[in-house]
Amino acid sequence: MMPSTIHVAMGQVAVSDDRESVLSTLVGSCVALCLYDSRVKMAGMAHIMLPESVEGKTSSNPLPARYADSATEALLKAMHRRGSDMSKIRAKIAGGADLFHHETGTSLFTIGKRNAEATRRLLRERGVRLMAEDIGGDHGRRVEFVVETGELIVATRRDGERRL
Amino acid sequence: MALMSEADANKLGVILNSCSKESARALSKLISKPVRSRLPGVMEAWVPSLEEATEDIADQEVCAVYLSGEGDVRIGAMLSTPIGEAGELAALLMGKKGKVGLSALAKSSITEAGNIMMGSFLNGLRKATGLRVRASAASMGIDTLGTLLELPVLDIASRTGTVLLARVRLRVPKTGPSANLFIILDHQGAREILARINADS
Repeated sequence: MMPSTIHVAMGQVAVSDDRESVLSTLVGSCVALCLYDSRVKMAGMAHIMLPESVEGKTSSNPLPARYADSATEALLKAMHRRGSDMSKIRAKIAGGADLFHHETGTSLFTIGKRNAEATRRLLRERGVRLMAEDIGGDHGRRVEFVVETGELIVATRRDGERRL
Repeated sequence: MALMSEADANKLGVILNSCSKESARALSKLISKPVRSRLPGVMEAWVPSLEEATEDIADQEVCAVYLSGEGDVRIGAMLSTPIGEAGELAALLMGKKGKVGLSALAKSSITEAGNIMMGSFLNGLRKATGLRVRASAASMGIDTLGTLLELPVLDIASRTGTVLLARVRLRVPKTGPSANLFIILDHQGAREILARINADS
């Protein structure tokens, strides 16, 4: 039977313990934060857009994964509510690319790098072990997180598929 | 629920269409060929649903130039051409026949075209509304359109969560290359443009 795919759009968070499902997203400079509790086979994914707000956060915008900090918090809470043990949760991350470059080769937008740095720092602060990552570069990634195994499949246009 | 009425979206479409004609004229001068442009409408999308709204073109591999504009309004513009046609566009820009490889020079010529087209668009916007916007330096990316569109959306619309996207279809008639010029606005920027139009009418 084909696994069902749960698409995680920009700024959104999803959790699944359906072992026949796969959490999926497409990221460029955004970061896919993937958390897994192997004891209960529960997977969560947040599609993080920005490292942190420079203008101050507004509560009027219900995008739980807009910022790295609110995304990490929302995802951990959602998994905990559904029976996951916080101490058993492990993380994998993918994305944080800088797709656009100036002619000189320099990147004018560093959102990707800053997204990845913020996510790593927040995981450290929350005591969540980062098991694997596929970060940076100048290419987008299709990311699939397999609920049954906790395997992260990262596919890129140039390099094909990587399993983390 | 849409934050902008259909009437306002139509008004915005008319003004963006007239500005994008300036961009098309600029491209036409650069390549010494006629360029047709068409802006079917302005789409308002909640950021998470943007991927669905652009699903038909999201997987297309493209060469894209992005510029963001700061000033009276924040506005982003992304010129994209399918990767298979980018060499043809570069050849026209470089005054060569047929197709060229995507060398540094070819990429530079497409980047410069994006730069000039954004400048023309912003001049058109100033003439029509009085709004002044300065464009950033242009940068280029090659990937799928859906992935590349992510950055302009983050750059312009991540604060409000709503994006207004206008897709201008550009084509050199007959066998010439095609391109899309995406104009990205946040809700505040769209309101500002509409306020200027309403004040003048």
